[in-house]
Amino acid sequence: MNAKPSRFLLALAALALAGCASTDAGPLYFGKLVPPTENVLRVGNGAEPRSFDPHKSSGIPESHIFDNVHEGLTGYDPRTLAPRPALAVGWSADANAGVWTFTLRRNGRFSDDTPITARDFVWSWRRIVTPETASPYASFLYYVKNGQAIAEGKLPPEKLGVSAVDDYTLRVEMEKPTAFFIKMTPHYAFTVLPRHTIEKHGDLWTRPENFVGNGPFVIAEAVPYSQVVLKKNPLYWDSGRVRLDKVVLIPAQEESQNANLYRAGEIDVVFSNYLPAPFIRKLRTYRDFQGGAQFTNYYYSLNVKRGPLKDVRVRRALNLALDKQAIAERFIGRGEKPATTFVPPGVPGYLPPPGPGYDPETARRLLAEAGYPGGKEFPVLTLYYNTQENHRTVAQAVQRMWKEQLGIRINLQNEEWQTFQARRERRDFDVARDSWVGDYIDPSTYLDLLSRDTLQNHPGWVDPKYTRLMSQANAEPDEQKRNRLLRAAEAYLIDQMPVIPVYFYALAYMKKPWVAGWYPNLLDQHPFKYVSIDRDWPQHRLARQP
Amino acid sequence: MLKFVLRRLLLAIPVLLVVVTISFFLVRLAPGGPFMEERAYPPAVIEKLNAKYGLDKPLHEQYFNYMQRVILHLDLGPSTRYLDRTVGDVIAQGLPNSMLLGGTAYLTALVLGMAAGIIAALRQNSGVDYGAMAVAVLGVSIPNFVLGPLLVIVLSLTLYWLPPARWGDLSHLILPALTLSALYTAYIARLTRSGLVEVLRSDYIRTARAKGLRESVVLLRHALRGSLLPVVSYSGPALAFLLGGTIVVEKLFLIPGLGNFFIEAANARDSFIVVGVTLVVATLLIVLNLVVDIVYALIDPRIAYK
Repeated sequence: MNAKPSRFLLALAALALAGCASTDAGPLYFGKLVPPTENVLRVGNGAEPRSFDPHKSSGIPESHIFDNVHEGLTGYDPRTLAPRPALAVGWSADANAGVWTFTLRRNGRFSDDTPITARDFVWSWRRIVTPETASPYASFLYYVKNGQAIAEGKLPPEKLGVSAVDDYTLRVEMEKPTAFFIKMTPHYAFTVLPRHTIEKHGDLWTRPENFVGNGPFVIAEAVPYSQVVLKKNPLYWDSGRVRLDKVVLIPAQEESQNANLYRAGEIDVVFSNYLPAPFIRKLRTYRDFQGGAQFTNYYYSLNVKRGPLKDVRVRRALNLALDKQAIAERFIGRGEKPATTFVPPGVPGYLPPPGPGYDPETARRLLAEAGYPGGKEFPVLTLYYNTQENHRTVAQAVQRMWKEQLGIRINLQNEEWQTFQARRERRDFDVARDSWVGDYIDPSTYLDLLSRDTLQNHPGWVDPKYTRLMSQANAEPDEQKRNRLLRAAEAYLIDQMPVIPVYFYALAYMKKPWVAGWYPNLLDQHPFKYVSIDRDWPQHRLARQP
Repeated sequence: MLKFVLRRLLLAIPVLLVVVTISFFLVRLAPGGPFMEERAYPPAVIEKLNAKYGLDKPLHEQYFNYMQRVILHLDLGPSTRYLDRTVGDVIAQGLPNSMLLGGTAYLTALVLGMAAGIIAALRQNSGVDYGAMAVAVLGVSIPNFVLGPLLVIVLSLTLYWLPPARWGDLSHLILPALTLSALYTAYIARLTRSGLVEVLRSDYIRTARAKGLRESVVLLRHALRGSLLPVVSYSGPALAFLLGGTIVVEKLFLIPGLGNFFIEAANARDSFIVVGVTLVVATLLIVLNLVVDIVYALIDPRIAYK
């Protein structure tokens, strides 16, 4: 009689252990937990790529492909994103960072076994700035001598300041001294492309049957709206380190689709920002949720050429009247941090200037000084945003805060993405939602947005003092001095307030427990070279538990 | 009959011309443009791109060039959204998948709808009848963007029986086909039931039964045939509609069909794809409707085309 219940209990205990992913408080992990049997990583990748040519697209889903099938002088460290030697084994700059010299490895090869030399870099970098290539990242090469003039069709590509000293030495002459140049080099804009393949196949060189790359993976299959399959490149110089045999990228554009595929166990990891915002609070309770800081900001561009917004006191007042803590934490609440400055935190060595906090009293005083006491006579401004639930929530909160604190009325207007972008570029707005994803870990990727009168400078704010501070900073080879100059520039930007920083985004993604080597980092960049499938994850996971 | 077919085909030409013209100008009138990116291109680059795709010319010239290319060379042009594909590639990749999904949904609707209709008609006014018709009313009234996610929640995310999205094998086809077919299944069930109920009351069926024929023979050979005409006239246009791609279901289940290409192209202002896909779907609709009319004539001798 005694034996039966104990056997029953044992069986129960075994069941509980087998399903160790669940407790009384509910499951620890989100959805089905069946690890893949092969070394294959399945990733939710956000959208169908526009192109597989790294010179022809600037999309984030595309970057996840480019970064793994091509490799330039340096690559990202998977945790810190600092440049690590890739095709370059060493580099040096002259005293004022005006000329950079890179020494290339001798065993670098394309996936069709063609050796890679410095001449391939020269050809590739000339290609990206040639106007005919129409590369969205051509502006990255503006830092290299004559880059901008070539892109604007004023000089031939041969005049670009890059040359092959010999097969394995690349010399880069900068337009102006550029101390942070090395931080940009892991970006795929600076990668090396197979000249022989591109000249042979033209625009069709990126099709899987023609494709040649030089990264840890090659494109094996590309079925639109279905999947892109990357296969391990056996000729990659560091192929011994690569542990995945295949990576399957799924272009699930709908956020709910990513969450569903993840929950059903069809994908192992979803990149950040591809999860449905309203569910983040709930998803956060699972162990496979990953959060962290992200190098992306959310701000409002103020049209400084229009009406009351010409007055800096009005712009400051609008900023001071916003309770950004409430917006970030109460209205959005996915881990965002309220922003008082423009550059997201986390850049090593850079201390952002202090930004003005929530201060409705001073805001009212400034508005009165500008001639609008209590908001009287203040014209009705229109705030534009692209149609999205999240943007509407923020805009409504801002509308209410300005009404309550300053007594001014604004209209809200949402628009379809293309229509909205066109409006922002022709500066046909009073206030427009804005956001920027940093391209490399340096304040200049943000601060340079407003240093010149470009199409990205949505507020239309061009200030000689700011432009001067930025050129000084970018030319300063000493890291500490440069950071101080950048800090002064940002302080001036915040003082003039052509943009109202609202919050900094937070990483929010899901990763199955068997995915190893995928670390949260500021750019949400995860070189697949370092990623692996950890088959012993339950043991490792338990060992790591306190 | 031949004359009728020829006339219909000739009539199709002005219809297609109007379709192409309207879609061409509509897409051009929308704000934004194919090269509008968050990371804005320098004006010099935009100029080169416009020149490459012939978008730098005046609109009427672009229109005539496009029509010339389509009519004389049967070339639907390049794509500005998918840089290494032409519109022809996009249609070749998308149309078969859309047709497979639409065809499966159509067959599902016919089989399930007719089965439910027959059972309901035979058990008239029973619980089964009321149950089947209640489900049919639901099927007609629930839009597919509600039904799809509901099916996903139950069958994919709770029971883990079927994948919630993607394309590749049979298991990926079931949920989208069910979602897409629900409306048609329900309609066909109601049409079958009402047709059959009426026929079963008619004199020739009583005669057939009086002759002592087996009930299955009465039903299948005599009654069903007479009751099918409304089903055929409904399901013909339904097939045309289903095969042409259904944007909502393709988007819901991430199906590499024409619908997904189309919606993305519209968002990215890729006028070549928008006009090209519209043209292909319009042609498909016209041809299938013609086929349906011909089938009517074959089934029902009372219908004759002149």
